[in-house]
Amino acid sequence: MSHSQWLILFLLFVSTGGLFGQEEELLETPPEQEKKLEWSGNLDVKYTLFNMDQNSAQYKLQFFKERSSPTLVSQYKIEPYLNADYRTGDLGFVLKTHATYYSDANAQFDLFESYGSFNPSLNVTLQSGKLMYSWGKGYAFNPVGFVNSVKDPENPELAQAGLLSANVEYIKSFESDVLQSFAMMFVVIPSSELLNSRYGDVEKTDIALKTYFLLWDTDIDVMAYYSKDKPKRYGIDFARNLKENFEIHGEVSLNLNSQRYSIVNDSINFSSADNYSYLYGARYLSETNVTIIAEYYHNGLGLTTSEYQLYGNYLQKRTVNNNPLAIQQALGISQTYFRSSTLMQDYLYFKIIYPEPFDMLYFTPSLYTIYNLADKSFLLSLQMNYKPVTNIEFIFWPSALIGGNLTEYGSKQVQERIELWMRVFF
Amino acid sequence: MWLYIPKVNKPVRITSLQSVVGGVFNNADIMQLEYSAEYNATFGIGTEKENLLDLKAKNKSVAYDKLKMWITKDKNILRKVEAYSASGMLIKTLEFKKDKNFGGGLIRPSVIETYSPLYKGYRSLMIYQSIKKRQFPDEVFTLNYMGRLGDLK
Repeated sequence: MSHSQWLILFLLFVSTGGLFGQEEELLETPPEQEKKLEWSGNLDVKYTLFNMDQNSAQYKLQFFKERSSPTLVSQYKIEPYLNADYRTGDLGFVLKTHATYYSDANAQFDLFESYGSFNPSLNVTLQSGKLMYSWGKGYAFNPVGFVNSVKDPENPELAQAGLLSANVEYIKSFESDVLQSFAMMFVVIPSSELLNSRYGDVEKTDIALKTYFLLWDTDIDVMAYYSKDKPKRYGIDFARNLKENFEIHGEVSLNLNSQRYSIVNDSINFSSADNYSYLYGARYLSETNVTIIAEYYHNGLGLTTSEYQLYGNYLQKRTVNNNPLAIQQALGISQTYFRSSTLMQDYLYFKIIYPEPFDMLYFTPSLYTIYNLADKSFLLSLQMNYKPVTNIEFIFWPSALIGGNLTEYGSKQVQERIELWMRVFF
Repeated sequence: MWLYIPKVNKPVRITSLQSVVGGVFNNADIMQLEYSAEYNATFGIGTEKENLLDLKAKNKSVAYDKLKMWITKDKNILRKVEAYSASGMLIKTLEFKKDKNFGGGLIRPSVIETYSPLYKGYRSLMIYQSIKKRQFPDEVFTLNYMGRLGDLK
């Protein structure tokens, strides 16, 4: 089916939202709808101490222009988040903004989300603008997150920037012991490659579809992503409670003709192939309110151990003679093709959260690790949250990256870091 | 049971044993449970003004194995619930106080206070300021609708 045929189908689907609305007029609506504008947000103030690895190739590339390259560096930044939510009847408008301020000369503003929504009925929602999606059941990784923002596995719950798109969702509930709920979401994503900074090629409009079933008390999603110039992707996920306090979940995605990057013969190599990425995970809650999350993640596009070593050697060679051209080239390749937080193939994620241990009120420590199963390097982090009063939170967060010189976590420019956060919410 | 935190934008499966609001309450205490679906009940020895119901869980997936409920004889208002584990240990007590007329013929306790021998010295309270009668289709109580529940306020 061509792109224009898909778009016609989308428009037909949207226009029949009115028909779905008419058959479900069971709701008592008040005679006058309240108009409501709500503001919310938070200010994050973050101070971080980094213990740098001066022998790391990444460190040499990043700091080659600096006259002094200290081992211990600090970073102080402010991140305000400001959100607006306006609702009147069936119409809504959401705005989520974010800024990062290092200094007057180094500040950045992000529009995380800005979208309008319309509900012709309680079964149907139309949304258009820039909005965030959260496909998948995984906590730290989402192989089926085809339309998701890139998630930081160290902080999976942090707000991220959304996707310029439009979607329509239909929800239906059933009185049945087998299929209790069904939903379908259809997403249209305009081309992100802009011409003259404003125009996109219509032929490069992408389409995504997700269907949801609550089947025998199991959440099941089936999703697909179609694009003319990006890999086509298909996926499925599930989540189920085996016991009241024990949940399992999984995701698997098939990515067709995906672009893969590696270093071959000391230069960047492009290849493409079909691949599977998948995740299995579980969540357990103990009688003492301790939560344990464990996930195994396979990245089908990831580098093998030897490929990562070739990449590491490539970067090291570029730093030997301090040649600015070679360093710039290596930095460009690293930041363009090897930016992911999970460059290799197999990872284990493990997290323990223990709210208020030993009656320490308002205090929640959590310990987590991301372990690279291939090269045995890992990140270990202890996050300590303290919320003494409503709307304020303090976080003390030491982390260590451990592994050999040519391992993924061992070769990073930061060896240890300590973060101090203060968060004020309103 | 699922929990949705707007900031996270993703529903997560939780258990009725968990406390998502903090304090002594857990999810089972907050929800309006259909007790007849989860418990078998018999009359115990009440008082002059109150009936006592002894409830036994039908299966192990229920939050509390046994409940004792005190209900007023005149208006059938719930006054106190004691929740016990399978071993007979008292886990927590919930008291329903300060009856209030919420309008529309609804008179019910406006304060739920809970305390537990497991959390000595602490009490948690839920205070109902107002109750609005609404009617929703079943689709509102589905996973995919959770992101829009705030629109129903």
